[in-house]
Formats: sequence, structure tokens, C-alpha cells
Amino acid sequence: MIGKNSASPMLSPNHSQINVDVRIRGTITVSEPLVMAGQLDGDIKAGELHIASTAIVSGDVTAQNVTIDGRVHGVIVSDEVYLSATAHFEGQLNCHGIAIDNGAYVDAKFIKEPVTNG
Amino acid sequence: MDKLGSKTIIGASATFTGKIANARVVEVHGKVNADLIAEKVTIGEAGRFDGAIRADLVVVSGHYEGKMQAGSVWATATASISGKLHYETLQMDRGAALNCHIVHNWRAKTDDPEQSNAGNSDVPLPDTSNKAKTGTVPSSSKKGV
Repeated sequence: MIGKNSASPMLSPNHSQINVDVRIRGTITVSEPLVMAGQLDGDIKAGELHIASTAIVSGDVTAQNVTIDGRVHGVIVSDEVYLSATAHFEGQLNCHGIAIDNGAYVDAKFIKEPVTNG
Repeated sequence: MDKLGSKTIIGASATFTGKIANARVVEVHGKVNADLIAEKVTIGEAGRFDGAIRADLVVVSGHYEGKMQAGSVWATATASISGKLHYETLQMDRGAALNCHIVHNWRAKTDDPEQSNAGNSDVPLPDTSNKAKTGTVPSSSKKGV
């Protein structure tokens, strides 16, 4: 137990993930990819964001790319948004490009925005 | 969900502020300012955690500041901990920096009812479980203070 067993396998991952079942209240800011599968009451700022089918997000989402399989209630600001067939989105969508699969629930106001780099 | 595994990861570039509940395994490589209840928490070398942690196992390789209540704590060589540390078992590697108030067996002391109620008592303490078995002797179970 002395000293050199600190083989703590701590490769810092270059991504973040919030697992299923996790409940969060607060703000997440990431510049690397983020996979959100839990429940969030708050805002997300991310580079590349994947909201998984188990996720429930209430709050504003700002990202370069967003893929939504789960539920989102709030304002999304993004360059590219993809809403898959399992997505459920209510709110406002400020984006440049958008793709919506057949079957997605969308109740939103759309605002076309120029491409940003943030 | 297979690709997620069972972990929640706060990556190196992430900044998180708020409250995390119901998490099982949490890895922190970024900056977190939060209250966290989990089973296992790992703070990576680059990680920085400010806030309260309640967990069964906490491995600290980065910087921690706050009030930690844990069953087992492992402070690796690069760890730096300040604040309050309540633990049942503690391992400290050569080089770890602890600048904190350290309390052993915090679960046994029920002076703070909030602590003993809120914690998930998955890890039973030997002496309390013995007491529970012999039980039902209210007057003798009173500890002299």
C-alpha cells in the first residue's frame, strides 16, 4: 500500500458525460463533446452536444452542434440541430441548419441565425 | 446507453456549477463547484472540486476543497485537500497534501442528526450493528458525554 501503487488510471477524458439517473441542478460549460443522458434543470454550453433518449433537459442549450434524442424544454442556440425520431422539444430554436426526423415532437418557434463560431 | 458505461464524467474542459444527485460513479477532470451525492467519486489530477461530497469511496488526485463525508478516502500523491474530511478509512500516498479538519468514524457520532439521516447507510458500522442486535436496552445505550 505504500507509494508507488498510485497507478490511478486517470486518463483525463476529452469528453464529458452525464449518466442516466443522474439529476443535476445547475450549469454545465464544456468546450469538448458532452453526452447528456440524465436530468438537468439548468443551462448547458457545449461544443458538440448529444442529448440522449433518456435525458430530460429544462433550460437553455447553447452549442455548435446539437443532437437531440431526448426531451428538451427551453431555448436552443446552435449552428446545427438534429432532432431524431425520439426527440421531444418545446421552446425556441435559434439555429442555422436544422434536421428533424419523422416522428419527432416539436413545438417550437424557429429563428434563423447566422453561423457563429461560439 | 452502452457506450456511456455507468459513469458520469466531467471532462477536462468542463465547468460545472450546481447540484448533482443520484449519481453512481462520478469522475471529475474539470472544474466543479457543486454539492454531490454519489457512490464513488474520482477527482483526477487536473480536477478541481469545491463543495460538499457524500460518497462511499472518494479517490482524490486533484484539488478538493469543502466538506467531504466518505466511507473510504484515498488521497493519492498529487492530492491536495482542504476543508473538512470525515472518513471511516483513509489512505494517503506519499506526497498528498491534507490541510483540513479530519474526523474519523463520523457516522458513529450522531451529534449531527442531519448527517446520520441524510447519508445512505449502506456501509454498516460494526459497533452500531452489534448494538442493534443486542438492542432494546434504552438506558444503557446512552453514551456518557
